[in-house]
Amino acid sequence: MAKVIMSVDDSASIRQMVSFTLKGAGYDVIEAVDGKDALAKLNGATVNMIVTDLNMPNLDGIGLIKAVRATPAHKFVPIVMLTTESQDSKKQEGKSAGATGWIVKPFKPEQLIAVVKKVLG
Amino acid sequence: MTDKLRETYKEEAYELLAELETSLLELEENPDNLELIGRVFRAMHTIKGSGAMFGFDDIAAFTHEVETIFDLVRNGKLNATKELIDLTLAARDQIRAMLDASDGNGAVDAAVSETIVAGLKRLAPTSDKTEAQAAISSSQKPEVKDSNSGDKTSEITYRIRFRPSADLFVNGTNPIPLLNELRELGSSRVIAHTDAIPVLEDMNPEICSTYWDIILTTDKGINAIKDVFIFVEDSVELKIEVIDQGWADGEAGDYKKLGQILTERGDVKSEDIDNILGRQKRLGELLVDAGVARPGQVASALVEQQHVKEIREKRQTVEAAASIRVPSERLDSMVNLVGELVTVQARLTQAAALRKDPELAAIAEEVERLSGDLRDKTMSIRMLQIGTTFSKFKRLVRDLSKELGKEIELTTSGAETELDKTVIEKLNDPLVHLIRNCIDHGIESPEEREKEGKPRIGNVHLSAVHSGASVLIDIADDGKGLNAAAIRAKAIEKGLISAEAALTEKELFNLILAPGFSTAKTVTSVSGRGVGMDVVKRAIDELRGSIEISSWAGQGSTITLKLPLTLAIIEGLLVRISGNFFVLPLSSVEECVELTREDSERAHGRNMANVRGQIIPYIRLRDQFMIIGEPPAIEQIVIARVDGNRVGFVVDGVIGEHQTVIKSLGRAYRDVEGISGATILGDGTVALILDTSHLVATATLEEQTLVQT
Amino acid sequence: MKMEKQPDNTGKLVLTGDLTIQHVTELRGVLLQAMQEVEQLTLDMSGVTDIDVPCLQLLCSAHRTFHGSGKKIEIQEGGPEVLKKTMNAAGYSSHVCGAGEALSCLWKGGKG
Repeated sequence: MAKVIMSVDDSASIRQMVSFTLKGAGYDVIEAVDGKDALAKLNGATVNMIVTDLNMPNLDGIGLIKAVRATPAHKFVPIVMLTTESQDSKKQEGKSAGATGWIVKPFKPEQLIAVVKKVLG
Repeated sequence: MTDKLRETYKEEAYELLAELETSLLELEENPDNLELIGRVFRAMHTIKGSGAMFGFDDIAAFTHEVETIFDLVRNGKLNATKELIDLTLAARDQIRAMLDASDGNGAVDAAVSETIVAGLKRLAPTSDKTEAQAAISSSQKPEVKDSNSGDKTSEITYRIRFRPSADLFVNGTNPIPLLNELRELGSSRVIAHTDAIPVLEDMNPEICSTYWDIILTTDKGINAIKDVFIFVEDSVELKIEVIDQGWADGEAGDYKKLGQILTERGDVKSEDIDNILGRQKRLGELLVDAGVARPGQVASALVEQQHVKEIREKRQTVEAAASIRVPSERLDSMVNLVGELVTVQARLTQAAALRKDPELAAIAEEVERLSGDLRDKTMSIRMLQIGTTFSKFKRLVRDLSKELGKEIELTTSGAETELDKTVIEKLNDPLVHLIRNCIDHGIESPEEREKEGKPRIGNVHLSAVHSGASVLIDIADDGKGLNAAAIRAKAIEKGLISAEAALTEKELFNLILAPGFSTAKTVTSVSGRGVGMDVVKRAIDELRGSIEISSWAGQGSTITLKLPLTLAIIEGLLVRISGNFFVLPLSSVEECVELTREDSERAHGRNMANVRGQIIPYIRLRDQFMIIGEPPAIEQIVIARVDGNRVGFVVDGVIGEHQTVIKSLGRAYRDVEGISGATILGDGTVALILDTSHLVATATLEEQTLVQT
Repeated sequence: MKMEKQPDNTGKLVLTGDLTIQHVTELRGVLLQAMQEVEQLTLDMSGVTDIDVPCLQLLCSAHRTFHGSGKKIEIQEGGPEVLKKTMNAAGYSSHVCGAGEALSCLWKGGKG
């Protein structure tokens, strides 16, 4: 059974790119436009990993990580955050919130796959 | 897919810009509204982040400046003044212009971008600028490195102790993919330590209480190992130590004692080891019994011991199986001995023939066969593939072409062609010189090439191929070719030919091999080292080889080196002058014709023979070596091809083919000209091996002197 | 997850599905209870579809706990392929049982 990865980003182009890359590598992908949408879609779903942006309206990435870690059904799900270069402090914040890893934007599809492999096996 | 993503990005960016405009106008009314400031920041952030992903680098770079300012506003370090909003609106329009221009519709005025950025920077408190700059520069290095990018080093064995922090599982990390990633780096053993796992009552099962020892043999380097742990590196205890360097230090199967490993790892104190070793039992059991080491630690150390022993044993067997290293002098002396043996065998065969003793003849025949085999085998041991030499030139070509601002690739073929070790060694310098010439003089600059309609990247092709008892090595380039007119002018200037001399193109090309003909006008570091092609020629002559030059204007030139397979043995033509024997290399001999006294008289003392309508100059070896005595009525001319020309050598008689083991003449005769070595015939007589090329050169020089006086 | 208790004070625990970190807390509870109720526990893991390191270390802990109080715990023969695979991947195949239980190590069928 294919593993399910949730892509959370308010930028449609990034979501598309993540989605396209992961589907190409044999994963199923659920897309969410922000943290709030992500939490709603997680409810009752099986998700093996989350790839999330940090800056999003409604509920940002840090908020999403904290919320997921507090949800019994998903508290152990690996979460990889997408950060940009100017967000080194954000990366630290994300890690202490419980993020598993990170990818620095801009990234190439191969880098995304490498990180997914590192986290999901 | 990329195009589709770019389109999506643009649509999204236009939407964000529209939203940005609204937010900015609202912000002007309510400059303290954090919600609005956040919205502006996020819009900028997305435009920047996604822009960099899909190749809109200019937009990303420009937007980064605006985002940096709004980060300050967001953190309360800067107020959303009217001035700032004006600038941001201008920036928004500029981003829009950049998006429009990305289709190729119109151009963006970079000066406008600069003015906006300068204005924004003026608003920012000075200290924050450097911070933003630092953030940018630190971002240049990618976070996820390609683990294969490290320098290829030899295989090194590491001991890795990986002790995760308690919250490893809680943060979603699964250690198994990390262990698998390590396994992909090389041959490994993974040992889990369970001794820290508490009993059920005390256990928080969500906490990681396992730790690992990994013994890994890899050629990827320590950074590849560290990269595996990049996400967890600041929350785990990671100890990486080198336990085997990869080269053969220490005996096969020999490795540190168990006690040493445990002390190195910090699992056991060395005093404890010393105390316990006083007793008579296996150390591992003793340590556990004494309660100073846990069984898991001992077992893990034993695994390390085993792994390194195996690695070392494997390395030795691989080395032993693949090849044996023998000093080359031993091979040389073996070749000499085989040479002696072949000579003695020839005498034996001759003696047996004289005695007419069938038993002795049979023995002689057997010895002949065996010594022939032995000779061939010995020669083949000295044969090396030319490929190793070829691969050395890749770097040369890369560095030189970079230095000269040219784009050149080196291609090779026939790398597996085998040649005598000595030939290969002596071939290196001439080849370097020829390749340098191709790069410096042959191949044009990329711009010139494009003008000529050629690909920007020039090509130098090295190839080697067997051809009978010779190897042909081609050095070909696709450059501009040799300039025959320039060579002619230069040769006249240097006095190598007269102004009227009618020369074929081939003869002209051969002039560049003449001593004193250097084509380099200025001394560059590449080919103009004050030595010309004559040095190459001399080196190839020493190898008893020949050079042929072909060139096509505008298309390139090819230099072909013809080299004997080995220097130790040549196929020769044995000739006689009075009681003296000489050997001519058979590879260059083309035919033998008779020279009667009438013929030479008809030529009026000029050393020219008419062979089927072709005039062939010849050299009287009797005169050349000042051998006393009368020549026979009918002499023989051995016609050989020397440096592309047919030249005759007049001798008393031709004896026949002779496989010759070459002996050097020794120091006393080193300067003798026209002779390249000697060989011993079956009856013990010495025959001298002729250096035809040198003989011709000397004769030509004498001729010229004669003409001039 | 529920243990079946036999009259002879032995118990059998049938584990099925994904034995992953989401279930470790529950599993620990069941094992603790079994510790109090039976002398010998057999784990039937043939229906397990996935297992991770948290569960491996929990079972190790259970073994240590049972052994420490003179009780027995074992995995019923014919464990699933995924168990062997995960143990190899996690380096548990070459671990050595802590604190002297080597002879009865859970993973080696008690044969050391």
